[in-house]
Amino acid sequence: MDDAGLTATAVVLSSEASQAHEPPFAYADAPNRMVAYALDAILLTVLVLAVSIVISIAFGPVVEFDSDGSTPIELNRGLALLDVLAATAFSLAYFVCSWRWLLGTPGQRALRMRLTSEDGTPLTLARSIVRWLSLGLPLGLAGILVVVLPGFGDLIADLAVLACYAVLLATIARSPTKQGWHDRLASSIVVKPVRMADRDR
Amino acid sequence: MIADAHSVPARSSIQADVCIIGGGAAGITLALSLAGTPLQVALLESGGEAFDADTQRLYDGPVTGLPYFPLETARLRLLGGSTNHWGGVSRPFDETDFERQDWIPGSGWPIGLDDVTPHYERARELCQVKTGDWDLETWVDRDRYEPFPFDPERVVTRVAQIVPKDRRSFGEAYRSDLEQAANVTAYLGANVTEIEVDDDGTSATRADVATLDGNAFTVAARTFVVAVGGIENPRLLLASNSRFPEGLGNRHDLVGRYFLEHPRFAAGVLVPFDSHLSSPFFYNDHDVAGSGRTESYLALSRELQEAEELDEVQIRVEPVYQGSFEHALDSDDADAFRDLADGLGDRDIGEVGRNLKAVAGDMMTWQGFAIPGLPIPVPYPEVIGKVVDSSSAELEQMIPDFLGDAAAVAYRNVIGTVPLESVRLIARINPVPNPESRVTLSDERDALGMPRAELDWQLSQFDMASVRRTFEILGSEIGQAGIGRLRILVESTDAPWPDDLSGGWHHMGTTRMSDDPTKGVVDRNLQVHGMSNLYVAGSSVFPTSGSGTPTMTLVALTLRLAEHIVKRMT
Repeated sequence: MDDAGLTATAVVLSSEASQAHEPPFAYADAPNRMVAYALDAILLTVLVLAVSIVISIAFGPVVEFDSDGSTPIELNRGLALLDVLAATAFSLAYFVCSWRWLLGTPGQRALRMRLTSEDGTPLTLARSIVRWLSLGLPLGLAGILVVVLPGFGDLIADLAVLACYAVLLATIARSPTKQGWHDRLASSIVVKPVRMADRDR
Repeated sequence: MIADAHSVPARSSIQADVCIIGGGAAGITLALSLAGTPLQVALLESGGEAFDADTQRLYDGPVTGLPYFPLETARLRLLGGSTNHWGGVSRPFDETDFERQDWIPGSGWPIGLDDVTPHYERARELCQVKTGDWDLETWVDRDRYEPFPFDPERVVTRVAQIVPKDRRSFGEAYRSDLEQAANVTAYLGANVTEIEVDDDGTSATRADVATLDGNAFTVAARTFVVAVGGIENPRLLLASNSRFPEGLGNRHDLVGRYFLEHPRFAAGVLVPFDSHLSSPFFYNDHDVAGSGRTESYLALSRELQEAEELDEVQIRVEPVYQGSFEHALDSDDADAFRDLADGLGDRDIGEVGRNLKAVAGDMMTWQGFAIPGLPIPVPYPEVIGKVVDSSSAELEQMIPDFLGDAAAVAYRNVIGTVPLESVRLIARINPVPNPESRVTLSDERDALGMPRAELDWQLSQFDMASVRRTFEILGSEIGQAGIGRLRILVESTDAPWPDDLSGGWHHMGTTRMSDDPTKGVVDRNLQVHGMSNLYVAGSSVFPTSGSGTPTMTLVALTLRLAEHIVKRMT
């Protein structure tokens, strides 16, 4: 089944429609989405690491070691900031392009999930960006805080990001349509086709 | 009960059976020991319950002779006295500390260990020292480390226990006991400026008290006990001179003389053959299997010390770690981590919060070396390359840099050792009593008009010679044990005192104990010679400085004094 076909079979996600028609899909729940995000995180990290290597080759090391090679004596905060911006830019490109043109990130697609608008059509670019701003931007901002406020500031940033994700997962889990607050902002939905055997239970 | 001296009616006279001057370890011990007896006790403490800069400045005074801490920083003037900044290191004296050693003039106490032993257990409880077991084998059995394998006939190891920080202040620990003692009234803010005596100077009659805001009153008592510390005790006796210019108990010009400290300085460096030598950790402030923290030291055996005719020189062992461990294990964040690991105890919530914040921030160290903004933390490429390229020894040294100081402490505690650069050996001397080392009255006066104390700290060349010889013997033992090489920093027996010479805030000897009034200020019962009702409590009565630390022993002596007073007066 191609993407267009899948889209065509996805019913209008109004409460009346969901009651009137037995859907050939299920709303992708929080555990599925966590696993998908983990896969995306690994892939994104590998990509950003490669970019970081390029930055180091082009502009010099971010971390400089002592003359005897032991103690790290200096963190080049300018280059570290460049790394953060690169990581954030890659995250933006990765997620927005995946949602807009691939109907899901590689991680979501690996688990056979699809991300669309609530009416089943592909998410628009604008909504993809809105969705990323609520999902990926906190991590980027936290990364900037880590660079400019080392030490206790790191902890605050980490705790803020954790809180953000905790709220996200909670809103997904509690929503009957498994829409987190980022989905509601972007009017998006993530679905996963059910197996015929599951449908018959 | 606790009263405010500022509220006592001006020019009034308080009547008591016993007047205790000073609310430090000795004064509080004495007051608590007299609580519940028929005696009415007035305790006069200069400070309040919190630090006050104006009160503290009353301690200021000139220092001549050998360099010493400023007098207003070496002691604290508030309820609990100097226990408010006590290091907590505790060990009682042993038998030899009380004995006369013929090669050390002025050594020998008029009492022996047997006279003090009955009081050491209670002293231990008051000081909140965890256990009364000082036997080395007990501690070796409990410890994960072992002491240096020296011949015990020549070099011994002695264990001292460290009282946890939140239990050291006598003021905090016993404030409520003082408040509840019906027959004890502790007056805070009460500065005694003079002890007045009768016409023939053999009996104290009253203490003149002044507050910093100008109030003044007197305390009349049947018995007076001066317990204001090793510098302040002689100061008060000397300043009580309106009738007798030489002061009280000073007919033989001994008050203030023989000021003793436990002087210390780095006298040697051990370079171990094995950088992971673990024995130094036995000696160096660490937890011992649920028994609390200890700090141990080396010394020549008593037999060898006698055979060589030396001062007792104790040797503190301070590991110097390689690389970043050296800073990490001594840092504020490491201390915060250790404090948290010690448990909450009676710490105030503010201190716990500060420690938590410090440790939390420190534990984020790794994040400074990971690419920020990613959902999975991954180190910068340079760090990955460094780790891949490094040997296990090099990786070990990176732990504090990459993971933080708390991680370094945890690593040391779990693994049991960290790589050593060397071991610094600090000589801590029990010096020869020196009459030229003394506390006198300065021409300067404090805010109450009382002459300030002036300290002229002196040591003897015999003390330096003892250090040199002790370390020669130690070097030989180190060689025999195959541990490493010792570099002795004392070049000769008449080397000058080094720049890092300091004391331990132990102020002793200035009203020394002797049955002979020409050799001491107080007798074996701590009664001032020539005075019928004046006593001195505290480490100023020590004729010699002793191998242990002063606090437990001065508390034990004070308990003995309390027994004497009760017996005499009831």
